Amino acid sequence: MRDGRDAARRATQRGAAPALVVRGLTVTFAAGRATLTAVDGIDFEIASGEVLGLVGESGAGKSLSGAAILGLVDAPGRVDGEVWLDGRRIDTLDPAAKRRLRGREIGAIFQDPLTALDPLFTIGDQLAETLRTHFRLAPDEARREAVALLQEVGIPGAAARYSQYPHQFSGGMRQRVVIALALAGEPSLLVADEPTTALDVSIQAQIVALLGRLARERGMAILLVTHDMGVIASVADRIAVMYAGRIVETGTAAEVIARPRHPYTKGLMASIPSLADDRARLAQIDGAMPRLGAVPAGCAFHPRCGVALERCTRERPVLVADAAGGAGATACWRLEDG
Amino acid sequence: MAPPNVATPRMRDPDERALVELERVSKSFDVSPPWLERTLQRAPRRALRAVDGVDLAIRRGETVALVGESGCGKSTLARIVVGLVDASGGVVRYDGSPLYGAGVAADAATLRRARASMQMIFQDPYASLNPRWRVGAIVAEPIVAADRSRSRASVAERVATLLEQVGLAAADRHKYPHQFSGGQRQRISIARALATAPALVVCDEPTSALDVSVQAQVLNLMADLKERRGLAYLFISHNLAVVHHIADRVLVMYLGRIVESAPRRALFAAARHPYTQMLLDAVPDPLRPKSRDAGDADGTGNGAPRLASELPDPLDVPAGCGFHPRCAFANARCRVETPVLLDVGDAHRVACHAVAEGRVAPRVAIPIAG
Repeated sequence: MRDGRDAARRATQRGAAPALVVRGLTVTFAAGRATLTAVDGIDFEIASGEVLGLVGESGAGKSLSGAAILGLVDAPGRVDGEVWLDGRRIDTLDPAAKRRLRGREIGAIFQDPLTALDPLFTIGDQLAETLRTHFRLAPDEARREAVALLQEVGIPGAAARYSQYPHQFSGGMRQRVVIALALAGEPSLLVADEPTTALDVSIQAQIVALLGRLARERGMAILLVTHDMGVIASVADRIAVMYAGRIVETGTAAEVIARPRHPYTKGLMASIPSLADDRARLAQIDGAMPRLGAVPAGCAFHPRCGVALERCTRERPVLVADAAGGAGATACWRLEDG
Repeated sequence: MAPPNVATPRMRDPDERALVELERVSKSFDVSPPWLERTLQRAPRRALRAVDGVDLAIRRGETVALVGESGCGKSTLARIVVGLVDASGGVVRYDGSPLYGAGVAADAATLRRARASMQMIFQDPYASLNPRWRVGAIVAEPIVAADRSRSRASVAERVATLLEQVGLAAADRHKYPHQFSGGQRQRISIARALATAPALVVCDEPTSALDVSVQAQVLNLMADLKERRGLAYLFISHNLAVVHHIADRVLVMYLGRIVESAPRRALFAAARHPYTQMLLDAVPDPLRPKSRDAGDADGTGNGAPRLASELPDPLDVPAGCGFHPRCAFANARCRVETPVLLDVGDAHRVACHAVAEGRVAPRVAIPIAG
C-alpha cells in the first residue's frame, strides 16, 4: 500500500510535473465599495497519486479554494491567480470548456451525497449516462463499465444494485455512488469537499480508506477539503492549513500532525480531544476566525495568538521553508525571529 | 481563562442516589402506510422501535455519555428524559418519584419542579434560537415561565449574570442571534438551559456543529459549570474522543438497546462489546495513528473485516442480537437469542453472547501510560 505513495513522492522529487499547480489563487467579492478577500493568494501543487489535505475551520476559505479550482465561483465572486492541470492552464478557459473539463478531467464530490444524485433515475442509469457523455460507448458497454465502477468503489452486489434508486441506498453507499460518478470521466484530479462530514464515524473510516486506495491505484491527485484533522491524518500525504484565506502552514501529514510549527496549527491540534491523552481541560484558542472584511492587518492570526510580536500586527508573514530541513513551510514571524 | 482544575469533576464521588432513573423505557413510532393503502393492499401496520427497554440512572453531578451511530435511538432517549417525547412503555423517575411513562400521572407541582431542573441543549445553535428574539428575551423566557411573579428588574439581572457565566457580556442581551458565531450561540443555549438552575442538562451533540477550536471552548465551559454548580449531564454524542474527554460513565447504544455500559476508564481501558470495539477502531484520531487501511472493508478482499456494512434498517431489525450481521464473532446463538446486559465486574455491563462465552478479547483503546 505504501508503494503508490512512495512512487508519487519519487515522481515529484524527480521533477515530474505535478497534476495540479495553483499559483496566487485569490477569490474576492465586491461588496459596495469594499472588496472582501475570501481566498488571499494561495499556492500549492498536488502530484499524481497524492492526497493533499486542505484543512481549516469554517470561514478559512478552504471550500471556496476548491470551488475556484473547479471554476464554480460565480459573479459577484472574482477569481485571480493561475490554475494548471496536467501542464495546461485551466482558469482562463471559457465557460463551455470549463464545463467540459469538470467531470472529465476534474471530478468533484461534496458533503451531501443525496443532493448529488437524481432521485428519479436509477443509479445505474445515472452512471451509464455520465460514462456515455464522456466516452463513445454502446449502451451495453456503458452498463458493463458502470457495474465495474460500482464494484471498484466497493458496492456489494453491484450488478443487482445497478437498477436501484438513490433512496434505496444508505448514506455511506450513496457517497460511494457519488465517488463512482466522479470517477466516470477518469479524472486526473478529484476535488473532495468534506466528503465524510455527513456520515457516521464508522462509515467515515470506510470512505476515507476508499479515497486513499483510489488515489494510489488510479494515480489520481486528490484535493481533500475538510475541517477534520482525524480524516486528514488517516489519508493525506501532505497538509496545507488555511486561516482567514491564507495558507499558514504546509508539510507532510506526519510532520504537521506530530510537530506543528505555526501557533494556529499548534492550538488546533491541542484543542482536539483524543483517546491518547487524559487531560482535564482541552487547550483552547480564544476568539474566533475573523469575518470577511474584518481580517486583521499583519498576520491575520495575531489577535488570537499567544506569542504574537509587535511585528505581527504590522507585517504579513510569508511562507518560509523549514530551516531545520523538513519539507514544510510556515508563515510566522516568530519562527523567523527564532 | 478559567482556574486550573485542582480536583477534576470526574474524580469527585457523585452522590449515589439517582437523580433521574429510567426503567424499561421503550418508544415505538407508528410508521404504518396510510389507511387507504392498508385497506386496499392489506398492508400491515408497522412500528419502528426507536428505544427498546432501556434502563438508565443518572446521579447528581455525574456525566453520563450515550454513544451510537445515527438512528440508534440516542436522541429519542434524550427527548424522553426531558419529556419532549412520550415513552410508549416504562417509567421515568425524577428524584425517586414517577414523572413520565405508561400509567404515570404526576401532579402539576412535581412536573413543574422536575421540568425546571432538567434542561436541554440542542445540536444546531442556528436552529435552536429564535432569530426574531433578542438574546435577553431568549434567556429570560424560562425564568419567567418558572416564576411569573418575578419583577422585570430581577429577571434582567439574572439574565445578565447568566450571560456572564457563559463567557458573554451582559450587554449582549440587546443583540439578535445572527450577530453571534456558532460557538457564541451555543453559549446562549447554555445560558438559557441554566436559567432555571437545573440539576441535569441533557446535551444532544452540543459540539458536533462547531469547529474544533470552538468545540474546546464549549467543552471547557461545560466542565467549569459542572464543577461550579454540581451539574449532571446526559451527553449524547457519536464522537468517542469527546466522550472520552468529558464522561464519567459511558453507555453504548445500538438499535434502541444499551449494549455496553461502563465507567469511562473501564470502557476505554477494556472495551468488551464487538460494536464498541468497532466504534473505537473507527475514531478518526490524528494523535493515535494507525494502519491507513484499517477501514478498508469494501470488497477489495485485502481490507480488515471489522468495519463491514452499516446500521441495518431499523424497521427490519435482525433477529437475535441486532449487531450479528456486522459482527465478526457472531455464531448460531447470536442469530436467534437476544443477549441481555450482564455484569462483567467493576460496574461494567455488556450484552453479548460472545463476551459471555469468552470468544472476544477486551480491546485497549488508550495506551497505558509509562
